[in-house]
Amino acid sequence: MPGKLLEDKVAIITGAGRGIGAATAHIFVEHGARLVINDMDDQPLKRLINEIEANGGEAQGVAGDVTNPDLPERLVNKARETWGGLDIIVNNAGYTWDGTIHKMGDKQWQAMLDVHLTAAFRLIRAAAPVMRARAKEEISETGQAQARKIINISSTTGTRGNFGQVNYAAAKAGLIGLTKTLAKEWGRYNIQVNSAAFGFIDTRLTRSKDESETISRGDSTIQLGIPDEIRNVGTALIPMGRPGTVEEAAGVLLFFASPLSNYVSGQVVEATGGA
Amino acid sequence: MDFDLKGKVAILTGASKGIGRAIALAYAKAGAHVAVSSRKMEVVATVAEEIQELGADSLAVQAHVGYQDQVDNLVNQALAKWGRVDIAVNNAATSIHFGPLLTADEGQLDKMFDTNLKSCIRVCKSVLPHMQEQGGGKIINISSVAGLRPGFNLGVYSITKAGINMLTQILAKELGQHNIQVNAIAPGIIKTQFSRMLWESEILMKEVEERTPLKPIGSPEDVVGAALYLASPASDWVTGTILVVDGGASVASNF
Repeated sequence: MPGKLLEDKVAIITGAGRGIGAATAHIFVEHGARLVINDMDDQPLKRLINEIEANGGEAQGVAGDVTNPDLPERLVNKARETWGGLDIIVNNAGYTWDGTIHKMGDKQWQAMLDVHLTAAFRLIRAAAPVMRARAKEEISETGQAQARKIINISSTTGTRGNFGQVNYAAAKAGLIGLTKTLAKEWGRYNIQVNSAAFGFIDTRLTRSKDESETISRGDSTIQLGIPDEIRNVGTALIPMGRPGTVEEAAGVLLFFASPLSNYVSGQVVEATGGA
Repeated sequence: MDFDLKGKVAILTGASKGIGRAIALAYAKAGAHVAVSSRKMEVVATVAEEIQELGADSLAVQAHVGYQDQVDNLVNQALAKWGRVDIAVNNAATSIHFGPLLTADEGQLDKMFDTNLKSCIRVCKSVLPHMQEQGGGKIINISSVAGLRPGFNLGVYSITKAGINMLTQILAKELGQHNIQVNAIAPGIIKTQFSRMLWESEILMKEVEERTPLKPIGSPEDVVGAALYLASPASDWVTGTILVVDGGASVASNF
């Protein structure tokens, strides 16, 4: 299937400033999509927009925290005002805040639900007037709606559990229930809803803790990354012999965003390198 | 990154009609050289001609997947013509028993296990040394949603497809070190000759229509997208997955 697979499609990608989000943004733009991209941090977002525009693509940036109740509507409005519609949502923004359950406070638990699950719920709800309603109009006008896509980023932590990530696991598993339910509610509008559950992808969430990348949320400082012993064991258990790259992760999302997956809905595809 | 297959060599079993034929044509449109096989030469030769008409290079090989030497011959012919084999699609299957599982006789069981399941092992054995030497490859097994959840009257078929799902996962683990990705596609009800008995049943189709989020019956073209993705470099780190293409029907099943 040569040619651009997302020609003129409007997509929202949250957490697009780095990692899987940024790789996805680049690949979507290569395939002709117009993007509303979001990140907590202004700098990576600006950098990404410059790169996209330098390559002849179109992107609008909306910086902000996806847990802010106002942000979802701002993203949808930006898509609607700039390009008149919305075709694809990639719920990707998020971070990890690891700890064992007996030491985990409510704030640490809730933070994962807020950023991964509630934020996705709010964005989809905010998009309903533009995606679901528009599809309904198309059906009454022409008998069918064009295909639209919702892609929720989950994790093998959500499908299988992971030591020290009870909060992340619950949120990522929650996204799977949301995905399947939404597939049932919006299938009649020709909206495919799927989830990619990634295993070990090389991003700042999985690099060595020694590289000391920290983020702050509220008055908490959170160190990202995973301990070296776990990284090494994790890699050894991957049949492909290495973690996945962010481009390979984005490849799954390109499949889900493209017409190639028009008959795929309610699915959770684990991309794990065989682990 | 795209789903282009320019210059790749693909071999397919059971490619004379339905899903196999649709995938063969799609691979050809994406730029691949395609070797199509089936038990009957006349039928598969037609598909090879269709591929040529698309401007792509093809090869028709008569091969019964029940015989290792015929499978080897398919692979060897592709190698002789194009020097490599990058993608193997195990699509050949049969369904000769319909009814309660315990009414299947030995002959039906043997034939179905052999044609649907052992055939995949034969093809994989045949392509492995070549893919290893080439530094990688793609194996795509056509399974079915029937292999994931029990339906009615398709017990033997379901068991063979469940077998394919496990075979896929095992080979993904064993062959990952050779950069060979092994995945399965599990279609739902697809309108082909093979599943006629299902989509001609009004009672069944009414029930399927009610619970399927998207349209209740797919066409072979609906499955092609997954086959393109899994054959392309875009899926190089994806292995051991079972990609369900069924309009969402499976999430709607009640257990």
